[in-house]
Amino acid sequence: MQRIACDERSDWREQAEKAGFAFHTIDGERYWDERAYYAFSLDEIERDIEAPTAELEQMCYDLVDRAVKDERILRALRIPERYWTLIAASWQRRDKNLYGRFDLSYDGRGPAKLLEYNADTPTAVFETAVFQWHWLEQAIARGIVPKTADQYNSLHEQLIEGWRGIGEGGHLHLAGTTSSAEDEGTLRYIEDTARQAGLATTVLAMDRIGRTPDGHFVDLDDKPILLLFKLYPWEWMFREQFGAYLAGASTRFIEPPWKAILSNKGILPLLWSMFPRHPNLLPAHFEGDPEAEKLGKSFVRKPLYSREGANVEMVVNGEVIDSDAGPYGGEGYVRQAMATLPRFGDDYAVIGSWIAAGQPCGLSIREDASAITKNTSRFVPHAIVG
Amino acid sequence: MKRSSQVLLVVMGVAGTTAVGHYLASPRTECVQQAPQAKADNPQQTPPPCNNTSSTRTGSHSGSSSSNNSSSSEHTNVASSQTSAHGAERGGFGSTGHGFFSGS
Repeated sequence: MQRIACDERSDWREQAEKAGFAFHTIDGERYWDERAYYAFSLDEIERDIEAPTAELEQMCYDLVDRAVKDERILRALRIPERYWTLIAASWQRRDKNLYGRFDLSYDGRGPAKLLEYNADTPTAVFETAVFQWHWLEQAIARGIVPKTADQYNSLHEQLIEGWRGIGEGGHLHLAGTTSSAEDEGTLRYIEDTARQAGLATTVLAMDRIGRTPDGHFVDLDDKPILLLFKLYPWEWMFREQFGAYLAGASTRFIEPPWKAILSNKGILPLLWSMFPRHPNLLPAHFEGDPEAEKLGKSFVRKPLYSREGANVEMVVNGEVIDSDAGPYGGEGYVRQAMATLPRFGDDYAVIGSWIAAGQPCGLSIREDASAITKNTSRFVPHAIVG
Repeated sequence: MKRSSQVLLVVMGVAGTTAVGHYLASPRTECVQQAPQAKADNPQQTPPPCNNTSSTRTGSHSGSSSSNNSSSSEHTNVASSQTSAHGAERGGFGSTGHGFFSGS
């Protein structure tokens, strides 16, 4: 694994705009950054990223299977009790899921370590699946990367394949916070993959979803929402007014309710407990568990529910040396052993390993001067060379 | 090769054109069956038969944002709801999203 400085395409902003990648720059700061790329060997990708991702996914299925049968786990995850039956039924039916992103610490030396699993609303999907691929094609043509360069990236095809299995040619509604440019862009891209899988689609804002007097969810034309992709977290829906009607509704959700178990940093200590000393896991414990003392005075403190690094704290010798402000933490925290993130120059890099339709299929990399990855952390493309 | 053979966007209005030329306009019709997983727990284990249908229907979208600020407490968030002429109540989702990033 190397970070290789390279020429950026002089027209990359125009390319981004043309591709519909409107959020390539956020608040005047680069988000998409092609002044460098990360180079991997095929062996590193297949042995250290792709294979462990498949294994981690199966471990997560094992965890879900255990959690729906053990109230102690659901309680530890602080999932409201009134949704336990909804979640368990979703798993018993094996409701299909579409995608997720494992965040890994990996520097090319030794096994990748799971930092967290974005199992419900992973973003950066468009720039991973599409714009990063476009960059590679053009970088090869322009001599920016070797002509033999490849990329670990079949995310686009796998998303389409996922929709074929989920939608079976039906009608998909997609909902999220459409006032956010990034969320709107993600919704439009997911819509695109669904269309290519043969589904008809309708996009609407989350707060425009209607509920009929007989308890079914409808769109703005009062047509039934039978299949809904939501770019909106389960833990938010659970505490909102319509959460009470989820169990009785005829809507299938993507991601399905059982994913609520996995989109929770409580899975980190649970996985460590189920698979102690697994090479791709870091020691982790719930805060308040006496076992947490084994981590000593240096660890990373993470809220059960948080997004994009918010409220994550890095503690060294008992002192918080880095943190990101945010509104999370009310449900409690976990402590995870500190992983050594690869650092190239002034920046830390975190690997995003994507899985779609049950298959590991892509890689994204975020860089930041801080070891805590945030919403504004830059996206840097990658290539397989050698 | 570890990457997609082609990336074509339909809804977003961009064909995957690159310096190497234009790609076919029709979406892929071949279907790849998922390899069965070793354990029965995998929801992806038994996919349905391949679907070769391509779609050119136009989707519609409407969107407006009127979300309220969220509370980090466990109380139920109740946004101001509206009822349509057909009796559908709205606003029961979306109240937490304002000001927060939905993704992770």
